[in-house]
Amino acid sequence: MHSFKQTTTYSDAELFSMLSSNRTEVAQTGLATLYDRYSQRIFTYCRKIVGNTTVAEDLLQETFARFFESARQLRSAENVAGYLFAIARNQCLNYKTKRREELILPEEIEIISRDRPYEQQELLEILDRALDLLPDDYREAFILREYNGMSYNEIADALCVTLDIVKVRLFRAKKKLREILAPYLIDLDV
Amino acid sequence: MQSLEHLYAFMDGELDPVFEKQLFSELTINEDLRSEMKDLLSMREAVRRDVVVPSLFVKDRLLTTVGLAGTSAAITTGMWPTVRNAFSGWAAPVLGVLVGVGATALALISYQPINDYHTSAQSLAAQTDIPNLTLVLPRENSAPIFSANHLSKSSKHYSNLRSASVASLSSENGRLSTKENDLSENNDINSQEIIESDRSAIASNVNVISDQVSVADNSAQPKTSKIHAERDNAAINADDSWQGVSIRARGLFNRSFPVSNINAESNSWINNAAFGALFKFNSCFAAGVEIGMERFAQVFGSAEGASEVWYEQNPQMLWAGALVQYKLLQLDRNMDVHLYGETFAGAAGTLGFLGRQTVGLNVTPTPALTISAGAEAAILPYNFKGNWFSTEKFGFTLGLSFTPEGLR
Repeated sequence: MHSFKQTTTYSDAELFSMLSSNRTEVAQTGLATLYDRYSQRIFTYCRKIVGNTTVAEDLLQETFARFFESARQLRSAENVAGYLFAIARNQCLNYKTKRREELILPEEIEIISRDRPYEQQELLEILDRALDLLPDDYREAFILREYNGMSYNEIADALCVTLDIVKVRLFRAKKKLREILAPYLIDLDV
Repeated sequence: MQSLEHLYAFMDGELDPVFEKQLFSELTINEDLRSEMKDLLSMREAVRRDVVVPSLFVKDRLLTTVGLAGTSAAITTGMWPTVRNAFSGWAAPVLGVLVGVGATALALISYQPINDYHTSAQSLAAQTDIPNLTLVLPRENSAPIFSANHLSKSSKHYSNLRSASVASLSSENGRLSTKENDLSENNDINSQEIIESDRSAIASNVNVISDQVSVADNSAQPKTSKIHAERDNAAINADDSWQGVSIRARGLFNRSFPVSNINAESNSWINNAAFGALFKFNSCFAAGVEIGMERFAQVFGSAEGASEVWYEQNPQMLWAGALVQYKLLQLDRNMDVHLYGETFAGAAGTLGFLGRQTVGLNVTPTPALTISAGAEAAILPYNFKGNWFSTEKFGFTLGLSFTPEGLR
């Protein structure tokens, strides 16, 4: 029997073009592969922006659903990742806009427990709370850089701002976070 | 401030190389900057650990939402074209069922009842004109007859034989019954042994030959009926319950290798269920057919020009085929608790052939009901563009078999 190596070498553009195929199995392969490729990054972004895992999963699903519907008509896309991120960003912003109009009950604040050591869990919670203290623009830039690993140029493209603005936002975000987290970083010896 | 900006940019891999030397120099003399760098590294480490993966349900929900659920992913072109055409749709499962039915029918036609004291006794009755002749042998007394030709004096059966002192048959009031007989130490069961009965003219000769017992009528030679000894040494009264048709249902709790996340969350046990019918030839052997539904995760690929393209799918497939079940080890006779083995051969939809091996425990608290639990392994070999791949499944199964009164 053949030894398995689970890799898919289709490019994003090829997978994107598969989404508009009339053959269901081809479209499913395209969508499933793109999902596997980008869902983690999109999910992380959504989770950090909205601060709720369940909501982030809904937004992730909605992002890919809208992406699929658009792709059925577009036929081609140059920057699939950017396109996906743009949809996700809109989803998150819409959610936050609607959310601001609602009363957030304390018990709805989710504390994510994934069987981590207590100290690590505590640090992650502090990190989340510190991120919440940042202005939205700074937080978004920080998430895209640190969680999604995007370059300054990619962040600038994604946020439709100049490179200098990205640098400023990142600088201020990190400086602020460092101020908040410094005591914990020393104590917890990460 | 500029050093700090350079440090942040450097940490992000975005610092212009012309500033690197300046930054390194600053780091050697600026303790605050080094401390800042250390904190940034710690913060990054914390971020790196903050990984939460989305639920597997999201992907299936997505595929359902956009109308792509339930399809087999990835087989885009030319999968096993010849075989696929030949086994398209329901052909493979139907063929599996036909093979199973054929095998069962063949087994039924060629079946020669063994271990059937009742039949033999009736036969004997017909030959001797004694109506309603039945064979009455207490279980312990049937034991020595079982393997008389292989019995050693040290065996438990031989001890039983001696202690029970029962080895002959006789008729009393129209019933064939055991007759006590004294066996001396020197009696060698391996040899042919004729045990005389002083009770009746019928069945007065009991001849132990191999694993059979021959009963002869003294007065009406050569009327002879052979009573086949039971290989398994089980209770005679249970003989009748061994034969019959069982209807069974079972759940399969297993996992595919390679592991697939596609549709994995819908892999509930109801998607891994099987139904079958078995004909039990005797206490040791049964054969039948089974049909079921399972998911089979597949990862396969082929060379596409200069690159290698891999596909993944986890389709839910109907499978069917024939099986044989056999007793491996008797653990308890009262409830017929025994280890069994089961070998299945069939096909899974259009994917390929399916083989399954099960080892488990059967418990039969009543003749009508058997409870089964076992561990099993299955393999689904398939071919894609000239390369062979396989899906292996490992897990366990729980099942119930019913043998209705009318089918016994």
